[in-house]
Amino acid sequence: MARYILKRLGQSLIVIFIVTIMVFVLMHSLPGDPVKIFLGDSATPEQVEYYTKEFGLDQPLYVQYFSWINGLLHGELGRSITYKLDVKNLMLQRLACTVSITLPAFIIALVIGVIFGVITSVNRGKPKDYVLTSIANVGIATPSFWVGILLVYVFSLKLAILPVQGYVSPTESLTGYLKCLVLPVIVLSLGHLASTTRQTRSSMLEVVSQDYIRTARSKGLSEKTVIYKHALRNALIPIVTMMGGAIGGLIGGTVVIESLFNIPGIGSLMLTAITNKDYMVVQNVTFFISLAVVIANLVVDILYGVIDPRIRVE
Amino acid sequence: MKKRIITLLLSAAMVVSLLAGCGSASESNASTAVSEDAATTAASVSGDEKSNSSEATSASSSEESTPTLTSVVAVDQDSAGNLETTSTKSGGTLNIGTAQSPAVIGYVPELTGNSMMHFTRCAYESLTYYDNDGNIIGQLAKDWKEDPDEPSITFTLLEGVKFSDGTDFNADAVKWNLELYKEKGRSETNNIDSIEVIDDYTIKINLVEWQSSALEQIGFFIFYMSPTAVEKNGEDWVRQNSCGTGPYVVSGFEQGVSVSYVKNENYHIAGEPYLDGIEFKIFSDSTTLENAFKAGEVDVITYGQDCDLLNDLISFNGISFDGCSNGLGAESVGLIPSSADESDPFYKKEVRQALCYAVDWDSIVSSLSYGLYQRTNQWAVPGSETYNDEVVGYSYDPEKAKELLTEAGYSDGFETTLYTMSSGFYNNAAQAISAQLAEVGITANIEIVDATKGNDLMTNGWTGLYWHFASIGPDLGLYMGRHLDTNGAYYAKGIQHPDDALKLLGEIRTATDHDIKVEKELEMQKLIYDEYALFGMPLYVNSAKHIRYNYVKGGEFAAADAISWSPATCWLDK
Repeated sequence: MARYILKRLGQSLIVIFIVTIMVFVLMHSLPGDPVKIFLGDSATPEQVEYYTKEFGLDQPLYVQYFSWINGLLHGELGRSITYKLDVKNLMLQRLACTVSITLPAFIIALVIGVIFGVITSVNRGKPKDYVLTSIANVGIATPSFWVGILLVYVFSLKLAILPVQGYVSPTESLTGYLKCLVLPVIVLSLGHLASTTRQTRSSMLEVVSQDYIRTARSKGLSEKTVIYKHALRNALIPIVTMMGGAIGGLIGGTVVIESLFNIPGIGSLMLTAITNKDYMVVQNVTFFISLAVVIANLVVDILYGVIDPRIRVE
Repeated sequence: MKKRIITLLLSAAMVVSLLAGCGSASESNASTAVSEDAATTAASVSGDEKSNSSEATSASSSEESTPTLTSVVAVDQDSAGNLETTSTKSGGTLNIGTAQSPAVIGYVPELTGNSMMHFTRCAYESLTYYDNDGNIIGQLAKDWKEDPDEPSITFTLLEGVKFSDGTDFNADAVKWNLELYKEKGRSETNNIDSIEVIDDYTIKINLVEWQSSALEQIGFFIFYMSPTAVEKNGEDWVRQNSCGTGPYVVSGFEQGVSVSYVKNENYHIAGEPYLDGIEFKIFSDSTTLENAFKAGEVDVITYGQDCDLLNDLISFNGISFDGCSNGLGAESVGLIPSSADESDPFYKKEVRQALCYAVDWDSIVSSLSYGLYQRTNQWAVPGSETYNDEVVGYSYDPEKAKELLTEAGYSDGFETTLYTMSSGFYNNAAQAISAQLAEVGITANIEIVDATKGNDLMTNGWTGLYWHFASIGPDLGLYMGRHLDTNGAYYAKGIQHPDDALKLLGEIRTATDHDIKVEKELEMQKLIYDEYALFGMPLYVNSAKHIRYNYVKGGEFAAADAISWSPATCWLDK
C-alpha cells in the first residue's frame, strides 16, 4: 500500500508539473495587458512602464515561470495585480468562504443522496421510488442557476425570509451565516444529491440481487442489517468514485453560484482574475485545484481498499 | 395505471411551466409600456426641479417623446442639490450596490478610472469640485489664480482642515501629494514643472506649458492623503485603509466584496456628515444587484447600469434616477472604425461616412435600450457646453452610403470584422448593425471578444469596427485628447491623426480664454464628426449613474458630475 501511494504521488507530481506549464503558457498567450486593464483608460505610458516593472512582467517568460515555481516551493505565491494583495492570503480568505458553503452542500448531497438511493432501491416500483426518482431526475435536468433564481424570487423577494445575496462568516455571526447558507447550499447540493441518489439506487439494485444478499436474508438477518451492513457497503465503490470526482468541481466550479448569491469565494476570484489577466491568482488557484483533485483521487483509491478488502493495490 | 397518472401529472406540470414562462415574457413587455408612461409622468411632476431635468426633458422631447432616464429625476432636491423642506436626520448606514471593484481603496495615486470616484469621494477631497452647472468651485482650495504667461496656478487653501488622523492639511501636504502623483506617473501631474510652498496655505504650481485643462486636472482629479499616515503606516496599509480629509474613513475593505466607511470625526464641515457609515457592496452579477435593490438590501445602485437593469427598475415604486446633463463625467458608446492603415477600407473618410449613413442608429439604440439611452452624434452630451448644435451628423441613408462607397472605389463593397462583447446591448446591436451594413455591401463578420481581448484591441489597435467607449466631458483637450493624441492610451493606434485636428487640439489645450476655448471645441466637433467621421458614429450617452430609494436624501448624486456625489450631505429619511 505504501509503495502504491508513493507511486501515485510521483505520478501526481508529473501531472501537476504539466498543469503548471500549461496554465502559465495559456495565461501568457491570452491577449491583453494586465497592467493596462488594472490602470484603466486614463493609463499613461509612464504608469504602464512603472507597474509592469513592479510586477516583474518585464522579465523574460522563463524567468517569470521559474520565479513562480520557486515561490510556490517556498510558500510565496506572489502578489495579485488586480487586488494588490498577497495571493496566499487572498486565496485562503476566498477558499475558507467557498469551503464553508460547499462542504455542507457536499455532506448533504452525500448523506441524503445515499439515503434516498437506498430508499428507492429497497422500494423499487413503489410510490416512494417514483417520487424520489422524479426528484432526482428534475435535480439533474434543472440548471442550478435557474433553481437559484427561482429560490431567490420566492424566498427573498416574495417571502422576504432569506437574504438575496451576501456572505457572513460563521465566526462573525452564526445566525447570519446560516441564513446566507440556505439558498446557496440547496442550489449546490441539488445536482450532486440527484446524481448520488441515482448512482446509489443503481448500485444497490445490482447488489441486492446478488446471492450473498439472498443468503443473508435466509439466515434470518433483519432487513436493516442486510441493507446497511451488507448491501450498502458493497454498493459504495461507484458512489465514492463519483463523490471523489466532485471535489474539484466543488472547489473551483462554484463560480455561477457565487455570482448569483454574491459570495466572495474562490470561483468568483478566479473569474475576476481570468478577466483581468491576473497571472499569479489564476496560476496559483489552478495549481491548488489540481492538487486538490489529485489528492481526492488518491484518497478515493485508498478508500476502495478500506471499503472493500478484496481490492488489493499492486 | 399509477405510472400513467404520474406521467400525465408530470407532463401537465411541464406544460404549465412552459406557459408560465411565456406569460412572464409578455408581462415584462407590458411593464415596459407602463414604465414609459411612468417616466413621462415623473418628468412632468418634477419639471421645475433640477436644471438638468429641464435640459434633459427638452433633449428627450426632440427625440419623439422617447423617455430617457435623465428626465426621471429626484423630487427632493432643487437644482443646486439643496434639500427641500424636510430637515436632515443623522444616523444610519447607507448601503450602496455597485459593480465596480477597487483594487486599492486608500492609496489614491493608484486609484485610477472614473468608476473609482464613488469610493474615493467618501474619504478624500480635491482642491476643486463643480457646481451643478459645471463651473469649477473650491473644495479644499478657497481660491486660485491662473497665470497663463508664467505659466502657473496658485491655490489658496482652506484653513482649519485636518486629515482623518488629526494632522493638518496644508501647503506642505499638498506638495507632498503632488510629488507622489508625479513619481507614480499620473498624467494629471505630467505638466507640473515645480511646486512652491508660499506659506502654510498658499501653494504655487509652476507648469511646463500652459494647458487650459490644467486647473481641472490638478484641481479635480488629485486627492490628498495625510503624509504622516503614509510615512508612519506604509503604502500597503494605506492601500487597505484611508487617511484623507473626506467625511468618512475606511473601516473595512474586502477586495471584490465590500468597502465600509465610518464617520470621520475630524471632518472640517460642522454638522457633517450625517450618516454613521456607508457600505459599498460589490456585485459581479447585475441580476443579483437588481434583486438586492428590490429586496431593500441596498439603498442605492451606482455607476454604469445597463439598459436591462434600468428598464426593470424604471417602474419600481419609490425610487429616483439621478443623471447629469452638463456632460461632466458622462460616458458615451459608439462604433469606431480602424483608419490607421492605408490598406484598410476605413482609411478613406468616404468609407467612414458611408458607415455612418448605412445604419439606422436611432432605431437600433431606441429599440435595444428600451428608449432609455440618450442619443448623441458627437463627443458631448446634448445640451452641454461643448455640444455643437450645428453638427449635422448622419441620418439613415443607405443610398448615400452606397454612393460614398462607389466614390471611394468600393462599389462592390468589402469585408471587415465587427468586434463585440457577448453581452446584451452590444451583441444585439452588433447583429443589427451587421445586417444593415450588408445591405450596402459591407460584410461585417461579427467576432465576439472578452474583456481582455477588447482591452488589447483598444490599446494596440484593431482592424475593422469596435465599440468606442469614451469619457465625453466638455473639456475636449483633456478627454478627446486621450484618444486623438498620437500617443493616446486607448484607440490611438487604430485611428488616423489628421494634422488639422491635432493642431486644433493643441489650440484648445493652450487656450487662455474660456470662450475661445469653447469656440474651438465646437469647431473640433464638426471637424471630427462631420468632416472626418474619425470616431465613426457615437451611439448613446449613459448619463444616469445612480438609482436610489426616495428615502435617501441629499448626496447630490451625479448633480455636478456624473461620476461623483457628495457623501457628506447624504442622509436617510427613514
